[in-house]
Amino acid sequence: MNLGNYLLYRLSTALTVLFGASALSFGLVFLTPGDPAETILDQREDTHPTPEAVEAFREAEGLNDPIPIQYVDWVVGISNGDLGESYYSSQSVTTLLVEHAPTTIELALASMVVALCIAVPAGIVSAVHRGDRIDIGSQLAALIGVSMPNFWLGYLLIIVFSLYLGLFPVSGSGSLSQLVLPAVTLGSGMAAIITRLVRTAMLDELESEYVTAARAKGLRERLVLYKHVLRNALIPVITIVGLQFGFVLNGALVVEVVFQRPGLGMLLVDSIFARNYPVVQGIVLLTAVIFVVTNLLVDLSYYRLDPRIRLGGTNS
Amino acid sequence: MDPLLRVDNLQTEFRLPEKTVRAVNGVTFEVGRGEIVGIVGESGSGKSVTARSIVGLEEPGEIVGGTVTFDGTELTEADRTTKRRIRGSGISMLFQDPGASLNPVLTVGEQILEAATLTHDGPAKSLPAAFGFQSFRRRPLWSDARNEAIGLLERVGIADAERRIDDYPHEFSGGMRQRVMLAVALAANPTLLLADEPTTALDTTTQAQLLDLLADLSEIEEMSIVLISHDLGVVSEICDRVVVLYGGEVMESGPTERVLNNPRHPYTHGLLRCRIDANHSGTKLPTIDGTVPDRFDSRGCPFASRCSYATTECNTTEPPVTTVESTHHVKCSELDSVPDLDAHPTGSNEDQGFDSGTKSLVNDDSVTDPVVRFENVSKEYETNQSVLESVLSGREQLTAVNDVSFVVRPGETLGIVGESGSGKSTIAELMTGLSGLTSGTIRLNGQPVGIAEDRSHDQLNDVGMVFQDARSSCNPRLRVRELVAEPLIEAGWAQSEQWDRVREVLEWVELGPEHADRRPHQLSGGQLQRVALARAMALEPELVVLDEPVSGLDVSIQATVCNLLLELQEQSGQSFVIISHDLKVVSHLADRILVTYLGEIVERGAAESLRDSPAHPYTAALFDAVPTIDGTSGFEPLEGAVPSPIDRPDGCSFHTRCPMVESKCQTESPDWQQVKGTQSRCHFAESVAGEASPDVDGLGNDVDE
Amino acid sequence: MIVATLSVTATLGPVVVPYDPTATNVGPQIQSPTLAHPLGTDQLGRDVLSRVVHGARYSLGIALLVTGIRVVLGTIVGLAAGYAGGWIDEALMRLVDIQLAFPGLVLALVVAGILGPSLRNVMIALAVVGWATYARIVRGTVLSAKEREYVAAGRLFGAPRWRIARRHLLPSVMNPVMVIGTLNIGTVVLATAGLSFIGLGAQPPTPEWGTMLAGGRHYLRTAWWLVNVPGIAIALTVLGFNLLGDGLRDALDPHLQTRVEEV
Repeated sequence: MNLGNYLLYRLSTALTVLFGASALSFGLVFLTPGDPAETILDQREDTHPTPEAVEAFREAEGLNDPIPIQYVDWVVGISNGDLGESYYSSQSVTTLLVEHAPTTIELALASMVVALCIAVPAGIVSAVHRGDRIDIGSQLAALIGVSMPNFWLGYLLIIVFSLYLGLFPVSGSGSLSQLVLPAVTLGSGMAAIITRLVRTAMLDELESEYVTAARAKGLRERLVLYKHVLRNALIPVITIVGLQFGFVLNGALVVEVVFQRPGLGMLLVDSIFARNYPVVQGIVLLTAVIFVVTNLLVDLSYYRLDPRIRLGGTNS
Repeated sequence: MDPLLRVDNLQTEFRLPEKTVRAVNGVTFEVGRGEIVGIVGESGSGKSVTARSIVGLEEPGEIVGGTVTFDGTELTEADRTTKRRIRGSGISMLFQDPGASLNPVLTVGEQILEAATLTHDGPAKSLPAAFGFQSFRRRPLWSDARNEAIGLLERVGIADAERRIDDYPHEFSGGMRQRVMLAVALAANPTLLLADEPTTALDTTTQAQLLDLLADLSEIEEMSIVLISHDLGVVSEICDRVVVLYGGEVMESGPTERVLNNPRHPYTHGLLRCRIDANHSGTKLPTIDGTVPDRFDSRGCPFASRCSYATTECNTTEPPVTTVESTHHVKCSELDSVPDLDAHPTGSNEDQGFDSGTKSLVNDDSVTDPVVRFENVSKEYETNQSVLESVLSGREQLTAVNDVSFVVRPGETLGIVGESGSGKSTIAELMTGLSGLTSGTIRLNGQPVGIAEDRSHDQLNDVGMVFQDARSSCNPRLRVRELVAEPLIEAGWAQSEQWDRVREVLEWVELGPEHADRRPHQLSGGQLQRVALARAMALEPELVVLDEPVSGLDVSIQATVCNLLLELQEQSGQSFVIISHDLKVVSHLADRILVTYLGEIVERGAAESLRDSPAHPYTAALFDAVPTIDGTSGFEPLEGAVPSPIDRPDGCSFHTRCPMVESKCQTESPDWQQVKGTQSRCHFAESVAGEASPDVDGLGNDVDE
Repeated sequence: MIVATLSVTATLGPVVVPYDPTATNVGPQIQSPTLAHPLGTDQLGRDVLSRVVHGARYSLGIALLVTGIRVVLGTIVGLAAGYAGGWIDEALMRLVDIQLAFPGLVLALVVAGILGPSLRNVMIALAVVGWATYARIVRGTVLSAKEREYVAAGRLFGAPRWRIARRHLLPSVMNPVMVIGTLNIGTVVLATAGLSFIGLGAQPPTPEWGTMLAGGRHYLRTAWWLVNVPGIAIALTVLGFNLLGDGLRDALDPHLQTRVEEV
C-alpha cells in the first residue's frame, strides 16, 4: 500500500472509533440511577428543589428532548468547539478543559521523560547481561515498580522528600519543583513496564538469525546491538509507549489527587462527584480523542520504521 | 604450502541444565586455498556447530578442546577482537535461511556496505549512522562504496542492481535473498566462505543456479569454500573434497570422487545407498536403521548403534582412523568386514524391488471411473485482504491455478511437480476441499464437489490428506492415539472400535502401540510423518493426497518414508497424489507425473517417459537441476525465477525463462502436443524430446479433457 | 507463595485477628505500633492489623471475580470474532477498539461515579472496561491457530465448527489467557484500591485497603503507618500475582509478551 491509501485507511478506522467513542461518552450519563436535574439542584441550592425549578432546569439544559436529539445537538456543538456549559458555573466546558489541560500535559510529558530515561537503558543492559546479577536486579526493580500502587508511592515520596528532607513541596503545580515528585511517581511505574518490554523485545531480536549473521560479518558487538538489534526491538516498544501515552490520564487521575494538582484528572474526579455531566462527557471524549490520535501517530511511525509494512498488506 | 584452514581435534559442548551434549567431538579437517570442501551429515551430526565454532559463534556452546588455525592464526584461544577481525575480513558465512539472516529494517545496500566498510576504513563514523538513521545514499562521499555494493550485487547475479540496492530484504524472492546474502559475505573480500546449507530452503532450479555461482567464485577469485549440506548430491556437484560427519565425529574424508565411488565407512555407504534416485522409480530403497542419537559420552563409535557391522567392541572403544589412500581417511574398526558399495550383503534392509507389475499403468479402457477429475479448473485469489483496502487500492487478481484438467485413476500414484508458486499446493487444496474453485468442475467419483464443508461424510472419507508439515498438522496437545482417531470420531466409530483401529493403522505405518500415548513433541520428524500418514489412511480412503511427504526429513528417513508409501500403495490399491518440488521424489514414487508451471500443467505423462524423453523444456530443466552424485552435470541452470502470477506472461507462460524461446512463444499459447509417451504444451515439443531415445513405451496417456 | 499466604490470610485471617476491624476505640487513637496493636491504631482508635487482614478479603474477592468476568466475556467475544471472521469480526473488533480507546481507569471511574459510589458498582465498572484486551488477544491467537494445518485437517474429517473450536482453538487460547489473567488480577487489585482511594469504591468504615490509605493521608506527618501499611499490603498482593503470572508464562508460553499492564 502506498502512504496515501494507508493514511486513508487508518483515518477511516479512526473515525469509526471516534464516532463510537463519542456515542459512548454521551450515553454513559444515562446510566445514572436518579434524575440528574434533581440531584444537581439539590446540591447547588442546598435545599430540596421545587418541581418547577427542576422542570425549568431540565428545559434550560435540553434534558427534556429525546436522547438521540440531545446526542445530535451535542455532536453539532462539538464540531463548533462547543462542549456545553458546566452545570455549576457558567463557564463553558471547552474553557475548563483548556484551563486544566496544561497541568496534565506537563505531568504526562515529564513522567514520560522520566520513564524513558530509566527504562530504555535498563532494558538494554538487562537483555545484554541476561541472567547476570545486573539483569536480576533490574528485573526485580521493574517488578516492584509494576506492583507499587502509584498513590502509595506518591505519599511515600512526600513523606521522605517533602516532610523529612524538605526538598520539594507537598502539592500544587506551576513550578518545576512541584513537578518533580508527581513526575517521578507516575514515571517510575511506566518505566517498570517499559523496561520489561524493552528487555523482552531485545531478547527476541537477539535470538534472530540476522544477529548471528551480523556478528559473522565481523561487526563490533556495539554496532550489532545498536544498529541491528535495538532498531528492530524499538518497533514494538514504540507501540506500547504510544499507547501508554494515550493512557497517561489513567495515572494522572490518581497522582493529581495525591499531589493536589489542578489538572484534568482532578477536574474529572470533582465533576464526577458533583454530577457535572457536561464536563465529564467532555473529558471522556477528550481522552478518547487523545488515544485515537496517538494511536494514529504510532501507526504512522511504524510505517516509517518498518519497511515490511510499507509493502505487506494489513498488519494491524 | 600450509592449508588455509586447519581444524584439529575440535570439541564443542552444550551445557544443558540436565546434561552436557558434545555436539562436536574431535573434528579434524583441512581446507586448502581455492579448494571447496563439503561437510555432509544428517541433522544432529554437528555440521553447523562445527562451522560456527570455526568463527567463534558457537554460543551458547563452548569450545572445550582442539585448535582452529586460519591463515597461520590460532582462533580458539584468540581474543574477541582478533576473532571479530577474522570474521570481518578472512572468513564470511552464508546461512541456511536467507530470509532470517538479513535484517528486515535495513536496505540490502546498507547491509552490504556495512560489511564492506569494515575492510576499508574500520568502524563506522557517527552515532546516528550507527543507529542506521542516516541512509548512506544521501552521502556523496560514500558514492564509491555504493558503486562497489552495486558491483557486488551484479556479481552475484542480481539484475537491475542499481535500483534494487535500495530495496529491503523482503522485496526479494528466496533465491534472490540468498544471492544478497552472498553479496554481503563477499563484501569483506573473504578468503574463506563457510556456507551452511545455503541451498536447502531453495527450489532445485534456484539451488542449481546458486551452486554454479559458488563454483565460479571459487575458481575466479580463488576463494576457499566450506559447503555444509545434508545432501550428498549437492556436495558432489562442486566440492573437491568431502568430509562425512556423524555424531560430531568425522567418519570418512577424502577427495569427492573417491568417497562417492569408493566409500569405505558403513555410514557413508548408508547415505549413498538411501539417496532417492530419479532413475530408479518404484524400487525399495536401502535404509539406515534408527535415528541419530544424542551423544553424552565419547566412548566407542557413535554410529555403532545403527551399524550392521558393529561388534561389541565398537560400543566401547574409539575406532582408529585408517588411511586407505593418501588423502582418504576412514574412522572404523571393522573396515575389513565392510565390503564394497556395490557388493552389499543382504541385511535387514536389502534392495527388494517391488514387483514391477504393480507399477504398470492401468490400461486406457479401464479408466471408466476416475477417482478425481478436474475439468477446466481455475482458482483466483484476491490479493487484498479487507474490503476497504480493495476499494482503496483496486482489486488485484492472482491466478494460482489456470484452466487445469486431469484425472486421477484408481490405484495409481500421480505425481505433481513444480517450483514454488507453480500452483501445485493449490491443486491439492482444491482436491481435498480446503479451498473452493473459481471456475470449472471437480468430480469425485463422478459427483461434482465443492469445499470440505459442502461435502458429504462419505465424500470426505474418500479423500485423505497428509499435510506438508506434519508438526503443524498434528495438534501438539493430543496424543498419537487421539490424533489418529480424529477421522474415526467424525465418522462415528464407537469408542471401542476406535482403539483397535488405531492400533491396526499404526501397524501399517510401522509404529508400535508404545507410540500411541506419546505426544507430537516426543516423536521424531519421521515418526510424526508416519502418524500423519496413519491418520490419513485410517478410514482407508480411495484417494490419499500427500503434500511434500518427505521434504524436511533427513535422507535416511526420506528413504524409509518412501519405502513405506510404496508398500502401502501396493497393499491397499488406493490412489495416491504426491505433490513435491523435488522431481526425484516424484519420479521415484509416481506412475504418472504432471508438471506444473505458473498454475498450468505444461507436461504430463508416464514417469518413465517423462524422465527418458521430456518433451517440455521446463521438465528437462527440472531434471537437469536435480543434483546427482555421478557427476554428469554440465547443464545450464534455468535462468531467473517464476514470474508473478498477478502479471502472467502472454503466449507460453514459460517463455520468459525458456532457453529455446522464439517469437511465436511470446504471442501464441501452445496447445497439447503428443510426443512419444508424454503430452507437452510446447510449440517445439518434438524437438525437445527428439534427442532422447525413441523407446516409445506405448503406455496410454489419454487426453484427459 | 505470596499468593498462597494471601489466600490463607483472606480466608482464615479474620477469624484469628484480635479485634473487630470496624470497632472504634479498641485502643488509643493514633498510636504507633505496640505489642497490643502490632501495626498501630488509626484516628478512630481502630486496630490497623485487624483492618488490613480483613481488607485482604475485599481485594482478593473483587479481583478474582472481576478478572473472571473479564476472561469469560473477552474469550467469548475473541473466539467468535476470530473464528467467524467476516463482518462479525469487523463489528466485534470495532467494538473492542472503541472500548480500548478509553483509558481503563478513567472509564471505570466514570461508570462507577455515575452508578454511585459503592464496591458493587466499582466491580461492575471494572468488569465492563477490562474484557476488550482479552478479546483482542484471544482473537489473535485464534487467527494464528486457525492457520495451523491441524485445523485444516479437522475440516477434512468433517468436524463441525464447534468441535474444531473446542478441540483445537480453545486449548491454544487457554495458556495466554491464564497467564494474562493472573497478571491482570494484580492490576485489578490496583484499580480497585485506586478507585476506593479516590472515594468511589468502598465507603468508610469498610476496611478496604484503598479506603484506608485515603483515610490515612491526612496524618502523613503524625502517623506514617496509616498510609504505609495498606500500601505495602497492596504492593505485596500485586507483586504476588505478578510473580505467579511471570512464572506461569515462563512455564506455559515463553513467547507471550507482557502487554496488558494497563487496567
